[in-house]
Amino acid sequence: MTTEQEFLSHVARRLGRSPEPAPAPFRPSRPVGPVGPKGGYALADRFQQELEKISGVVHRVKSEGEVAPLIARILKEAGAAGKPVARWADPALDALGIDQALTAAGHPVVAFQTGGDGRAFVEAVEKAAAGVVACDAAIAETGTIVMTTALTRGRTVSLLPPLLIAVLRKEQIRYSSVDVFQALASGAMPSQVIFKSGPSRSSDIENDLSIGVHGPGALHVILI
Amino acid sequence: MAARAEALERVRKALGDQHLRGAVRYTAENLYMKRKAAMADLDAQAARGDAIGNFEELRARAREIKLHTLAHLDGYLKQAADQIRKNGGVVHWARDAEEANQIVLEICRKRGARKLIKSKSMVSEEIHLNQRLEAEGLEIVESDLGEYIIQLAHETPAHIVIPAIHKTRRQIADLFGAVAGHELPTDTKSLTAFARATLRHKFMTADVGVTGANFVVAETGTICLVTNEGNGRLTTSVPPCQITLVGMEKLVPRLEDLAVMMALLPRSATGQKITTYFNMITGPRRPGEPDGPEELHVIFLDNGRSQILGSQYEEVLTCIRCGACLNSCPVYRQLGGHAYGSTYPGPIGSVLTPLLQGLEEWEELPQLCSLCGACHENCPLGIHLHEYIIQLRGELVARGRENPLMRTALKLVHFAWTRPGVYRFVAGSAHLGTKPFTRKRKDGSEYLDNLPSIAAGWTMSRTMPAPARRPFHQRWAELERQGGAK
Amino acid sequence: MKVSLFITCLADHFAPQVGEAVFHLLRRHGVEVDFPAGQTCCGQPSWNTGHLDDARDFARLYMKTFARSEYIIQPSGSCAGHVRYFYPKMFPDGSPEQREAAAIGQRTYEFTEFMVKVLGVKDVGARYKGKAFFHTNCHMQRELKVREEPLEMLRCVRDLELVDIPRPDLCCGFGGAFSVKEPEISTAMADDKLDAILATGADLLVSSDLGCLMHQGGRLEKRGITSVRPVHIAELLWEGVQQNGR
Repeated sequence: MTTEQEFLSHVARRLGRSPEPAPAPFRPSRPVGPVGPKGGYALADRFQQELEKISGVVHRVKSEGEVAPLIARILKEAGAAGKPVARWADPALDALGIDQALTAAGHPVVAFQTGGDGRAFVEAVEKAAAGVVACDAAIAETGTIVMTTALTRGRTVSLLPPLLIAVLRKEQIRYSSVDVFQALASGAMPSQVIFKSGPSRSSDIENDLSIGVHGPGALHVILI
Repeated sequence: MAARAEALERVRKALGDQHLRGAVRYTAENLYMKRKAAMADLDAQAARGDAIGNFEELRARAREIKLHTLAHLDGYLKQAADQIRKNGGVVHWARDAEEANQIVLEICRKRGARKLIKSKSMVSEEIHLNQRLEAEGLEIVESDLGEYIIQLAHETPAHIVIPAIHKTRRQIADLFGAVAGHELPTDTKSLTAFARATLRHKFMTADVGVTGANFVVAETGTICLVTNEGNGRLTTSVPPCQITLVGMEKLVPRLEDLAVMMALLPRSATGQKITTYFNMITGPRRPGEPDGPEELHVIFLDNGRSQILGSQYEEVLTCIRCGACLNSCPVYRQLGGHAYGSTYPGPIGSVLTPLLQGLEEWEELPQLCSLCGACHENCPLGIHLHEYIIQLRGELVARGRENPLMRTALKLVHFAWTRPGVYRFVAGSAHLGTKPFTRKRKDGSEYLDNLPSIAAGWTMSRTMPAPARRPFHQRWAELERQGGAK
Repeated sequence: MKVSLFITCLADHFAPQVGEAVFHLLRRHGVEVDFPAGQTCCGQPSWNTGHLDDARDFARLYMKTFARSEYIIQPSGSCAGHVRYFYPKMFPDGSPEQREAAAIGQRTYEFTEFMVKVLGVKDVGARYKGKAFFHTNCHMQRELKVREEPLEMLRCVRDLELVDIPRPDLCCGFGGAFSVKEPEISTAMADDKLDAILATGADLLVSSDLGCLMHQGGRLEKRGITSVRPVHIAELLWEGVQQNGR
């Protein structure tokens, strides 16, 4: 089997020199400047506009208190009565009183407990009618929500169930992906970062648009 | 010459398949127009200050990023490898396809893995991974809807981005029906629902998830997957082991370089501002996380890429596999992907395949081009594919790989036409010389038909004007008298 | 102002009337025209088929023939594009030959490009009744980036209606030697283009490029279609001037 040294030496040889221990730092000849509208409402409006173009649904609320009842209503309208709902076990959601609202509406809640059985969790999430998450950021230019993995969240919550409900605060919205990448670069990378822009789609069958191929076919963003 | 005969047969078959041609034309046109609209939109956004650059500016930035990366590729590969390992991943180095396949087989053997599920990866097709694994009794299922369809049909892709464009919904329903054990309706919703459920089961029971990589960020060792369906996410979230195959040229230096690349890739491929999913994977699951792979293996693949590095064709390694060149190519539009007979079709394939796998074996590919330059015009990296086609033809000529009649004709033209006196003599005799092939129209004007030898290729479907009795240069003296300059 | 005419091998052999038209139109606008006798071919057939050293010989001959010409006018976007875009790429970076090649490319013009951009003439005083589709050659569109100039000249032709097709940018399939090396693909490309043109009801197929015209015109004739006249833009303009009684 080829060793790292052999592989890299060969590459360096083709480049006409000996291997370099570290790459020359990349400095673009012109740095990418700040772009787009600033300010919470302009960004929120733009985010909503872009996400609606790609079949996402945006609910604007004025306070945190509105979130939990809204989630229950979305689930009811989606015909998810009585079915389990998965959520991130995360402080961002804990504070919103979601579990009480879900249980009151008859939905068993699936959330990961630290030290629990991951596989059992995934199988429970797979049977859930919906996943509820909190966004880490959003990108207004493209109507994108950004989610990262962290200990108890569970990446499958936003992926396996057919409906995804994401809670977003307008202060979290950036205009361009550049800001999000720069923010990520300033810390340690989580095991996964997910940019999601609208529901899952494909045009593989006679160029006809299908929604909900592998990921959720419906995306609701609750924007505070 | 067997390769050439096979190549000709593939082209002939493609041209004769009217259904395929209709599907290819429709798809290419659709994606071409979408890309065009997306770039016009981008330029308008940029003019308003709402985008990090217009198309030309982004292209210049992307070139800078990729060419810099290639110039320091060994350094960036080392950085990426160190980062992947730091985050708990395992790094492998594959010189060629066979080695890559061996590495995959070994990982599966060690884990007792029998069932794999794959998210779209051109590199995996390049190394014929599926065939290799299946020969060893392993199951590997394509999760990309289009790839799944052609896997069931035992075919190769007709297009890089939308592999099954040549399949009708009737055909797809039949393929799915064979799996289901009963007939299925042909509407998109039903077919999608069936695929979702079937593949969901495969995801949940797979031992290993295999992915490619659209980009790998060197500074963090992050694997980036660009999908619309979510199969990239599923492949890297549920199976307990992930194997990612990476063409070694797929690196970019920093996370923020992704902003430029992702501004270009979705727009160039499908006219979308962004794909539904953009995943960034850094290492396997962290201790305590409930899901995600426990093991992550990254296999960096050479398979001929290092030969292109340091050559006049190096720019070709900046390709991000968007397919814009296919969608703009007037020849691809007539043929579809199968006619090329290679993993990568269209303009990029005609250059990359001979460079990766041998020019003489693939000598027909650089001929499938009218040199219109649309590929270069549409390429988000500005790769000079139309120039490389000519250079490859030059290499073939230098090796004597040319139709002898064509060679003779071109040599004669060179001899005669670099000598003005000879040129004038030949031009003056052309009308007489073509008499045996001259026909007269009703109005008395002349044309040529049924030309011999290589020119028969022309007259099989076209007439040709008859050469003038007096070429232009013989008329000049008279024109000059009328008022030309000395 | 004095210009040199590069007739191109195709016009020299197959359509000398195009050269005559260019000559007369230039003369009418006060331009003196000379015709260096040593000219032959720009060398594109050699370059495109991979006979790269042969192509360099042709480039050198062109550079020698037109060394003293301030403007070189060609009735071909394809050949002008080859000279301007490819000649410099044939020689090593920084070499004197490359500098000369780049310089001569800057002095080389396709006919309508020269008329509009240098002479500032769009209206030559022509009248020609008909419905015309203008086919832009690939090199002209992409290497020369001349798209509007021929259209601007045609729009000034009295009684002439211009029509368009959905994808005017698509290659017609001529591609030089491609037309005989891959004749089936070449013909399929021509048919797509021609079907679109026929659907517009055009009776004129106009172009700056004889290769494209011979390919599409020859195909029309083989298909038995006589309703469309393939004609070079210079020829059409000159006929139009004469018809306008000026």
